[in-house]
Amino acid sequence: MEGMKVSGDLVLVEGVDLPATGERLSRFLSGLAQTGVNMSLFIGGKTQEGTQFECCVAASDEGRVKALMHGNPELKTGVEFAAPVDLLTLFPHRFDLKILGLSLTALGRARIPLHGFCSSLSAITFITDHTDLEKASAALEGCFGLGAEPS
Amino acid sequence: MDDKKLILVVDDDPDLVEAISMKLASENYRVAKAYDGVQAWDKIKQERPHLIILDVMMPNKNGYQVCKELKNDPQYKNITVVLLTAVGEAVTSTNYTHMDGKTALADEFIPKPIDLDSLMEIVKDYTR
Repeated sequence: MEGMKVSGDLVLVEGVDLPATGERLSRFLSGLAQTGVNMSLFIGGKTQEGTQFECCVAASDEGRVKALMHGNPELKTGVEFAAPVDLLTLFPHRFDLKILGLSLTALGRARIPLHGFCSSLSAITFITDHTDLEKASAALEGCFGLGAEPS
Repeated sequence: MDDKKLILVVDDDPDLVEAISMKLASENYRVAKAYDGVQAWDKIKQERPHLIILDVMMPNKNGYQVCKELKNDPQYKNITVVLLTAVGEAVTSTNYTHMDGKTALADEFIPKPIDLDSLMEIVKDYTR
């Protein structure tokens, strides 16, 4: 493990699309695109019952996203804001599942609740409450002997 | 002695570093990786790469600074630098300027988002 990146000042938006028509998610995503709101992260999952998704947007975009939701009956229900969050990204994982286990153990021991996590080609990203940022960073730094590289 | 050419890839986006590294490895290059300008200098001194693929907008020390320092250092000025830049689009919303780019003395500029095949062609041209 060579580094940890912290992406802060974000808010988490959670949504469900039941049944899974894709309509709500589609409206939400096209609304973000039309209003020029970037997502720092998007996680989606589809089951037989429906689609669940969560995404992180800059806290400064919260007003624009809320306006989008209020202006669209499809999005008034089923899409909610959670507390302010940060993303802690560890890299590179080199496709080693042990890193995920060690990270979850370290965060669990420090009693850090997670909103979610995901992996990409090179990195594992954890979504934590903003209020837990220092504790979560310290737990992962301690686990892998890293320093945070805010950018 | 391994005769594969060593390429240093520097970007604060670990996924882009990985994607470029995988492509370079598949083209039979050795790869070193760094995730900011300070790490880049450490790798340059330790490993003396043949060519550096260097992002501009990075924490700690940006790509323009690294490139300028490198090209003004007699020990390292012959190392080829390919700058990856999205500054053209971001110039109105950041402190980066086109003048920084002109004075950085890079050998090549590649706009982001990058096309990996085009990047490989450039790398091959400079490492023949």
